[in-house]
Amino acid sequence: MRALAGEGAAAGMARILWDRSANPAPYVSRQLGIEEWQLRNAIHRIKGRGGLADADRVIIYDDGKVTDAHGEDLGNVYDEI
Amino acid sequence: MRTAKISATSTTKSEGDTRKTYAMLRVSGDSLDPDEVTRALRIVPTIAYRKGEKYFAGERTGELVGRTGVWCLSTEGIVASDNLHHHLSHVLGLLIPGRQDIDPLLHLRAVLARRNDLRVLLSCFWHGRAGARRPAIPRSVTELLKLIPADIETDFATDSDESARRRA
Repeated sequence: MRALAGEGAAAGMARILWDRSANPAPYVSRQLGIEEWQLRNAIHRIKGRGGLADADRVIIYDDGKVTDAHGEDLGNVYDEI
Repeated sequence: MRTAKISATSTTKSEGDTRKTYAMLRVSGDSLDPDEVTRALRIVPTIAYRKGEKYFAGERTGELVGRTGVWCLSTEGIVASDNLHHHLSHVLGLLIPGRQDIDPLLHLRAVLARRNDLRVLLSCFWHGRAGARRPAIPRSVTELLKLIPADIETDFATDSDESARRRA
Protein backbone atom coordinates (compact mmCIF):
# COMPACT_ATOMS: atom_id res chain seq x y z
CA MET A 1 0.00 0.00 0.00
CA ARG A 2 2.80 2.35 0.90
CA ALA A 3 4.56 1.54 -2.35
CA LEU A 4 1.43 2.46 -4.26
CA ALA A 5 1.27 5.79 -2.50
CA GLY A 6 4.91 6.38 -3.38
CA GLU A 7 4.23 5.62 -7.03
CA GLY A 8 1.47 8.19 -7.04
CA ALA A 9 3.83 10.77 -5.61
CA ALA A 10 6.53 9.96 -8.12
CA ALA A 11 4.09 10.55 -10.93
CA GLY A 12 3.13 13.89 -9.39
CA MET A 13 -0.44 12.81 -9.02
CA ALA A 14 -0.92 12.89 -5.26
CA ARG A 15 -4.57 12.46 -4.46
CA ILE A 16 -6.40 14.06 -1.56
CA LEU A 17 -7.47 11.50 1.02
CA TRP A 18 -8.75 13.85 3.70
CA ASP A 19 -9.73 17.51 3.77
CA ARG A 20 -11.47 18.20 7.07
CA SER A 21 -10.73 19.48 10.55
CA ALA A 22 -11.82 16.32 12.38
CA ASN A 23 -9.61 13.30 13.04
CA PRO A 24 -9.10 11.33 9.83
CA ALA A 25 -11.49 8.46 9.22
CA PRO A 26 -10.07 4.89 9.33
CA TYR A 27 -9.97 4.63 5.55
CA VAL A 28 -7.25 7.31 5.43
CA SER A 29 -4.81 5.28 7.52
CA ARG A 30 -5.76 2.21 5.53
CA GLN A 31 -4.96 4.03 2.28
CA LEU A 32 -1.60 5.12 3.68
CA GLY A 33 -0.85 1.59 4.88
CA ILE A 34 -0.46 2.55 8.53
CA GLU A 35 -2.48 2.12 11.71
CA GLU A 36 -5.00 4.66 12.95
CA TRP A 37 -2.94 5.63 15.96
CA GLN A 38 0.13 6.17 13.80
CA LEU A 39 -1.79 8.54 11.54
CA ARG A 40 -3.35 10.45 14.44
CA ASN A 41 0.03 10.69 16.13
CA ALA A 42 1.66 11.97 12.94
CA ILE A 43 -1.00 14.62 12.41
CA HIS A 44 -0.80 15.69 16.05
CA ARG A 45 2.97 16.09 15.80
CA ILE A 46 2.78 17.92 12.48
CA LYS A 47 0.15 20.35 13.75
CA GLY A 48 2.04 20.92 16.99
CA ARG A 49 5.30 21.60 15.21
CA GLY A 50 3.60 23.91 12.74
CA GLY A 51 1.85 25.98 15.40
CA LEU A 52 -1.62 24.74 14.46
CA ALA A 53 -4.38 23.76 16.84
CA ASP A 54 -5.91 20.30 16.83
CA ALA A 55 -9.12 21.78 15.49
CA ASP A 56 -7.39 23.29 12.46
CA ARG A 57 -8.21 21.71 9.15
CA VAL A 58 -5.49 19.89 7.28
CA ILE A 59 -5.35 18.15 3.92
CA ILE A 60 -3.79 14.69 3.73
CA TYR A 61 -2.58 13.30 0.41
CA ASP A 62 -1.98 9.71 -0.62
CA ASP A 63 1.79 10.27 -0.68
CA GLY A 64 1.63 11.19 3.01
CA LYS A 65 1.97 14.92 2.45
CA VAL A 66 0.06 17.15 4.85
CA THR A 67 -0.82 20.75 4.06
CA ASP A 68 -2.90 23.40 5.76
CA ALA A 69 -6.24 24.51 4.39
CA HIS A 70 -4.45 26.83 1.94
CA GLY A 71 -2.24 24.10 0.54
CA GLU A 72 0.94 25.15 2.36
CA ASP A 73 3.23 22.28 3.32
CA LEU A 74 3.25 21.21 6.96
CA GLY A 75 4.99 17.86 6.80
CA ASN A 76 4.66 14.26 5.71
CA VAL A 77 2.98 11.47 7.65
CA TYR A 78 5.72 8.99 6.71
CA ASP A 79 8.36 11.22 8.30
CA GLU A 80 6.60 10.76 11.63
CA ILE A 81 6.31 6.96 11.61
CA MET B 1 14.18 16.55 41.52
CA ARG B 2 10.77 17.05 39.96
CA THR B 3 8.24 17.38 42.72
CA ALA B 4 5.04 18.44 41.02
CA LYS B 5 2.38 15.95 42.00
CA ILE B 6 -0.62 14.59 40.21
CA SER B 7 -2.98 12.21 41.91
CA ALA B 8 -2.23 8.69 40.79
CA THR B 9 -5.78 7.49 41.30
CA SER B 10 -6.23 7.13 37.57
CA THR B 11 -3.26 4.84 37.11
CA THR B 12 -5.54 2.13 35.88
CA LYS B 13 -5.70 -0.88 33.68
CA SER B 14 -6.33 1.54 30.82
CA GLU B 15 -2.53 1.93 30.60
CA GLY B 16 -2.49 -1.49 28.97
CA ASP B 17 -5.07 -0.25 26.51
CA THR B 18 -2.96 2.71 25.50
CA ARG B 19 -1.27 2.68 22.12
CA LYS B 20 0.34 6.10 22.39
CA THR B 21 0.25 9.05 24.75
CA TYR B 22 2.28 12.17 25.42
CA ALA B 23 1.93 15.85 26.21
CA MET B 24 3.23 18.82 24.33
CA LEU B 25 3.85 22.24 25.85
CA ARG B 26 3.88 24.91 23.22
CA VAL B 27 4.43 28.65 23.22
CA SER B 28 3.63 30.35 19.94
CA GLY B 29 3.19 33.81 18.49
CA ASP B 30 4.65 36.16 15.93
CA SER B 31 6.87 37.98 18.45
CA LEU B 32 8.26 34.79 20.00
CA ASP B 33 11.95 34.71 20.81
CA PRO B 34 12.49 30.99 21.47
CA ASP B 35 15.64 31.64 23.50
CA GLU B 36 13.64 33.65 26.01
CA VAL B 37 11.37 30.67 26.66
CA THR B 38 14.30 28.27 26.81
CA ARG B 39 15.99 30.47 29.43
CA ALA B 40 12.74 30.90 31.36
CA LEU B 41 11.98 27.18 31.56
CA ARG B 42 15.62 26.03 31.69
CA ILE B 43 14.88 23.26 29.22
CA VAL B 44 15.88 22.61 25.63
CA PRO B 45 12.77 22.37 23.42
CA THR B 46 11.97 19.58 21.01
CA ILE B 47 11.74 22.19 18.26
CA ALA B 48 11.76 25.97 18.23
CA TYR B 49 11.90 28.66 15.59
CA ARG B 50 11.02 32.30 15.08
CA LYS B 51 8.48 33.60 12.62
CA GLY B 52 10.11 33.61 9.19
CA GLU B 53 12.89 31.29 10.28
CA LYS B 54 13.51 27.98 8.51
CA TYR B 55 13.02 24.75 10.41
CA PHE B 56 13.43 21.11 9.47
CA ALA B 57 10.10 19.34 9.01
CA GLY B 58 11.31 15.87 8.01
CA GLU B 59 13.21 14.06 5.25
CA ARG B 60 10.37 14.16 2.76
CA THR B 61 9.32 17.72 3.50
CA GLY B 62 12.71 19.34 4.07
CA GLU B 63 12.84 22.88 5.42
CA LEU B 64 9.78 25.03 5.95
CA VAL B 65 9.50 28.66 6.94
CA GLY B 66 7.82 29.40 10.24
CA ARG B 67 4.53 31.16 9.71
CA THR B 68 4.69 32.14 13.36
CA GLY B 69 7.15 31.58 16.16
CA VAL B 70 6.99 28.22 17.92
CA TRP B 71 8.67 26.82 21.02
CA CYS B 72 7.56 23.24 21.57
CA LEU B 73 8.48 20.60 24.09
CA SER B 74 7.09 17.08 23.69
CA THR B 75 7.32 14.44 26.39
CA GLU B 76 7.36 11.81 23.67
CA GLY B 77 10.79 10.22 23.79
CA ILE B 78 11.42 11.64 27.27
CA VAL B 79 8.78 10.03 29.47
CA ALA B 80 8.63 6.26 29.11
CA SER B 81 5.07 5.61 30.20
CA ASP B 82 1.68 4.77 28.77
CA ASN B 83 0.06 6.79 31.52
CA LEU B 84 -0.77 10.34 30.39
CA HIS B 85 -0.54 11.53 33.99
CA HIS B 86 3.17 10.73 34.04
CA HIS B 87 3.64 12.91 30.99
CA LEU B 88 1.64 15.73 32.58
CA SER B 89 3.68 15.40 35.77
CA HIS B 90 6.83 15.87 33.76
CA VAL B 91 5.54 19.09 32.23
CA LEU B 92 4.32 20.40 35.57
CA GLY B 93 7.69 19.53 37.07
CA LEU B 94 9.36 21.74 34.50
CA LEU B 95 7.14 24.66 35.43
CA ILE B 96 7.38 24.11 39.18
CA PRO B 97 10.50 22.05 39.94
CA GLY B 98 10.00 22.21 43.70
CA ARG B 99 8.10 23.77 46.56
CA GLN B 100 10.76 26.43 46.87
CA ASP B 101 11.28 26.82 43.15
CA ILE B 102 8.55 28.24 40.99
CA ASP B 103 10.98 30.34 39.00
CA PRO B 104 10.32 28.71 35.61
CA LEU B 105 6.60 29.43 35.93
CA LEU B 106 7.26 33.01 37.02
CA HIS B 107 9.81 33.57 34.28
CA LEU B 108 7.43 32.22 31.67
CA ARG B 109 4.75 34.58 32.94
CA ALA B 110 7.23 37.44 32.63
CA VAL B 111 7.92 36.51 29.02
CA LEU B 112 4.18 36.48 28.31
CA ALA B 113 3.78 39.86 29.98
CA ARG B 114 6.45 41.36 27.74
CA ARG B 115 5.01 39.85 24.55
CA ASN B 116 1.27 39.85 24.73
CA ASP B 117 0.64 38.03 21.44
CA LEU B 118 2.13 34.79 22.77
CA ARG B 119 -0.15 31.87 23.51
CA VAL B 120 0.68 28.88 25.67
CA LEU B 121 -0.94 25.55 24.98
CA LEU B 122 -0.68 22.18 26.65
CA SER B 123 -1.71 19.63 24.08
CA CYS B 124 -2.40 16.08 25.24
CA PHE B 125 -2.41 13.12 22.89
CA TRP B 126 -3.82 9.72 23.73
CA HIS B 127 -4.85 6.82 21.51
CA GLY B 128 -6.23 3.63 22.99
CA ARG B 129 -7.45 0.28 21.86
CA ALA B 130 -11.12 -0.08 20.94
CA GLY B 131 -13.26 0.24 24.05
CA ALA B 132 -10.49 1.67 26.24
CA ARG B 133 -11.41 4.35 28.75
CA ARG B 134 -10.09 7.79 27.89
CA PRO B 135 -7.88 9.47 30.47
CA ALA B 136 -9.06 12.46 32.46
CA ILE B 137 -7.10 15.65 32.98
CA PRO B 138 -6.53 16.18 36.73
CA ARG B 139 -7.85 19.39 38.20
CA SER B 140 -4.36 20.17 39.53
CA VAL B 141 -3.21 20.47 35.93
CA THR B 142 -5.99 22.76 34.80
CA GLU B 143 -5.56 24.93 37.90
CA LEU B 144 -1.85 25.29 37.34
CA LEU B 145 -2.34 26.14 33.70
CA LYS B 146 -4.62 29.00 34.71
CA LEU B 147 -1.67 30.58 36.50
CA ILE B 148 0.34 30.90 33.30
CA PRO B 149 -2.27 31.27 31.70
CA ALA B 150 -2.31 28.38 29.24
CA ASP B 151 -4.97 26.56 27.29
CA ILE B 152 -5.32 22.82 27.28
CA GLU B 153 -6.23 20.72 24.28
CA THR B 154 -7.05 17.02 24.34
CA ASP B 155 -6.76 14.81 21.31
CA PHE B 156 -8.14 11.51 22.61
CA ALA B 157 -9.46 8.65 20.51
CA THR B 158 -9.57 4.88 20.30
CA ASP B 159 -9.22 2.40 17.51
CA SER B 160 -12.39 2.27 15.51
CA ASP B 161 -14.43 -0.88 15.64
CA GLU B 162 -13.56 -1.44 12.02
CA SER B 163 -9.87 -1.31 12.80
CA ALA B 164 -10.27 -3.67 15.75
CA ARG B 165 -12.14 -6.14 13.54
CA ARG B 166 -9.40 -6.09 10.93
CA ARG B 167 -6.76 -6.71 13.58
CA ALA B 168 -8.65 -9.62 15.15
